[in-house]
Amino acid sequence: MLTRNRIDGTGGFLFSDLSKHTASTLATMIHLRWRTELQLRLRNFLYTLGQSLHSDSLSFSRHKRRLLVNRLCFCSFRLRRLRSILSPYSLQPLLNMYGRKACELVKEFASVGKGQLTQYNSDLFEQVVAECSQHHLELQSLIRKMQEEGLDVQTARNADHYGALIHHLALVRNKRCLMAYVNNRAEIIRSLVWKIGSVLPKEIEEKLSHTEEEYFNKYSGELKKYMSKMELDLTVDMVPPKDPYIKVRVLDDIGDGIVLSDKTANFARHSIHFLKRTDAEQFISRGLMEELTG
Amino acid sequence: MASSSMDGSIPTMDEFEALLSTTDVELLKRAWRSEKASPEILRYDTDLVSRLTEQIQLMEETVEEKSTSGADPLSLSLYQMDLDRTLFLLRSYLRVRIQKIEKYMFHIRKTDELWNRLSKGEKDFTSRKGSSNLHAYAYRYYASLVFESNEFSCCRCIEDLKQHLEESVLSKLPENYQSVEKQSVISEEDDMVPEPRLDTFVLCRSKEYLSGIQLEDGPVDDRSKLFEMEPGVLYFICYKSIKPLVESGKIDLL
Amino acid sequence: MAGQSDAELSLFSAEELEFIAEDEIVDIVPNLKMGPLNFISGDFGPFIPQIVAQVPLWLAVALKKRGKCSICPPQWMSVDKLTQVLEAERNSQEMSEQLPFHYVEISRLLFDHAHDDIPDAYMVSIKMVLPCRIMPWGFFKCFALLSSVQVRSLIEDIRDVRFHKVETDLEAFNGRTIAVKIKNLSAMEVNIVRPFIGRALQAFYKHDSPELIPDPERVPDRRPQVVQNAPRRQLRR
Repeated sequence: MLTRNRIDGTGGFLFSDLSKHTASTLATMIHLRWRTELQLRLRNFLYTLGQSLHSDSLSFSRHKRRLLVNRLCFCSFRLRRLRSILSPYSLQPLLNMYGRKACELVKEFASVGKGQLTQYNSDLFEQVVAECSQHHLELQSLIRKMQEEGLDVQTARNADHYGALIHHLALVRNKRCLMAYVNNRAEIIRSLVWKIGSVLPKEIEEKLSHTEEEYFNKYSGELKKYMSKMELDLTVDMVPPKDPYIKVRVLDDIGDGIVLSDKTANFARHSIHFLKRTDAEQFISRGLMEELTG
Repeated sequence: MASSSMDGSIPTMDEFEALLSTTDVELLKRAWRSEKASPEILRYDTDLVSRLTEQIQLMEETVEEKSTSGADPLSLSLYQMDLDRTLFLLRSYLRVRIQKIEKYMFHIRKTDELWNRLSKGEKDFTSRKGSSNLHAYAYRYYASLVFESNEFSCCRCIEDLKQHLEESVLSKLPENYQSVEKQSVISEEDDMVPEPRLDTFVLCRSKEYLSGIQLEDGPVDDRSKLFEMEPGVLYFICYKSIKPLVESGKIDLL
Repeated sequence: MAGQSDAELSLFSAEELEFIAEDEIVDIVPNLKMGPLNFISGDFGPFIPQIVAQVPLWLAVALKKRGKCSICPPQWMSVDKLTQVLEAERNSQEMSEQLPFHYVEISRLLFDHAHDDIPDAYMVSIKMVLPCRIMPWGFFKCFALLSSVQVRSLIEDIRDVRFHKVETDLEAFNGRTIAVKIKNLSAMEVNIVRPFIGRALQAFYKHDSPELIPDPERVPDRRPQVVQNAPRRQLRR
């Protein structure tokens, strides 16, 4: 699952207790795993709670908010148990750990506003990929070692086994982060097709990787086909219609010779027109016209 | 909150709603609202959409005719507004669906029940059976024979995304970790596929008095309780519990 | 997707809510003669001068804008009625049932487009009205029209009181809440509280659900399972 709350580090497993020790010393720590899971769940809960409380839709007074938080926190006695179990554990993850670079990659994606794209970070991306290969190598060598020692790999529970497991989990986590990065960017790329049509502006093109550009073109082709089959342009009419005609002012020289559904006009800069909403919208979204109200 | 029922003073809105509910536009509006509110994709009403498309075309012709024959510009602009409103509703409805399909396309593709809720156009747009390209082409060839549709050929939204993910990420990973559906070869389920969250809370309203709704997925203590819904009253409820009622059209989401 | 309201924040944008409300039926008094309109969304008219006709709000507003009719404000929008409602809202924790589902949007549309149709008769009780806070709801285009200012501020007050009640109701939630019944909450109010209630209930639900409760007895069963799987399959290569 590549949804956003997952990439915030709340999905799968959390490595807060797993600093960069050798794999074997980590083995003992695996017994703490269920604690980590509790910690994760609490964090997740507080996160959701925080989000609902911070949603600006309701302006709670501070007192009320505190009241609500307290109530939420204490409503379930299970949660109270959670709190007591977790109190000695810091919620801060330790600094050096596996999967950190992948996390940075995802954070970088999330650092800009919704629907915005950052420069495709191929450098960091490749570093994470390299980390994956490294994990894989170590995992294989640990398993080889176990085999050489004549252990049954399926049932043996020694330090090497847990070490291999850690590498496996770290690799999976890296994979999830890489996939989240690409998939979430793909989502934005799709939304770009809806917003700006099938031609990529230079500034955006520079931010995309080569395969992303290809994906953009393919997607816009598919969308066109779907719309022509439905005989309906779906990219117009994004907000509910008011009057069929709206007043617009031209902001840039668009030139003449543009044929609209009901008339042709010369769209000189600053000229004001009474256009059909569906005709005007494409120019408005490209910043070439503005709607005049009132 | 309040428990007294509507008194006789302002029943008009409800009456008119009932009166208008017969039009296709009203039905589409309901479908649109439910689709917007539901976490998963709902059934595509092919008949409704094709009826409306017909009416829209008819109306477009009428407006066209009137504008050339120099009919009353006032009524013309009113007809145009009505047309625009219907068009918006239809477009928005189709957009909401595409948005949802794109978000969960891998999940929808592998779940027959959901896949069958898509319109034919949407299916083509998303395209099925992409496990291997060869397979996909074979399927499409077969399908084009069955549906006798020449447009069917190359709609392959899923394959596009899959290919994109494969080229960007998966091909660079160790071989046991290259699946788009699974985290690694040892995963028994498809644990990489985004699924809609059915435990989302939705707002709904029932048309009739419903009783005996089983809140099977509620908290332990309430599991055995049956839930009742009064008509016209709004409820916030977990989507999972009322899923069948939404599907059968007894409950509207809003 | 461009222009779609953010599904996670609020399901319907303000424009979309207004769009929905525009299908509510109002009475108009046309001042022109026009044959029936056979729309996709229904048949309306014929229109005969001075004969009340019933049309959807959007059509009423369009005709009004073109100077072809006056709109009869719905009965609930009179100062008398609104004062009663406000009184009732203040005196009880329950939501008054006297306002239509889209009362905020309808009144706003009428104020924006038909303020001169809200007649003086609607301000008979101007003196008895409680001290009104005139809330900034955009700048009033019609200061001269006291009645509509008054109706408007009454609606604002009602809105405030109702919101306060909603907030209080929310505090009554607890971990056992699996479904919330809301009676007489209006479309706009619902839309505003929806993201909060939805998330809060979901959080409760999630942390109450049995499979997510970390049960110390269960965990040892689960752990070896993970452990067994990893190396076993690795060997198959």
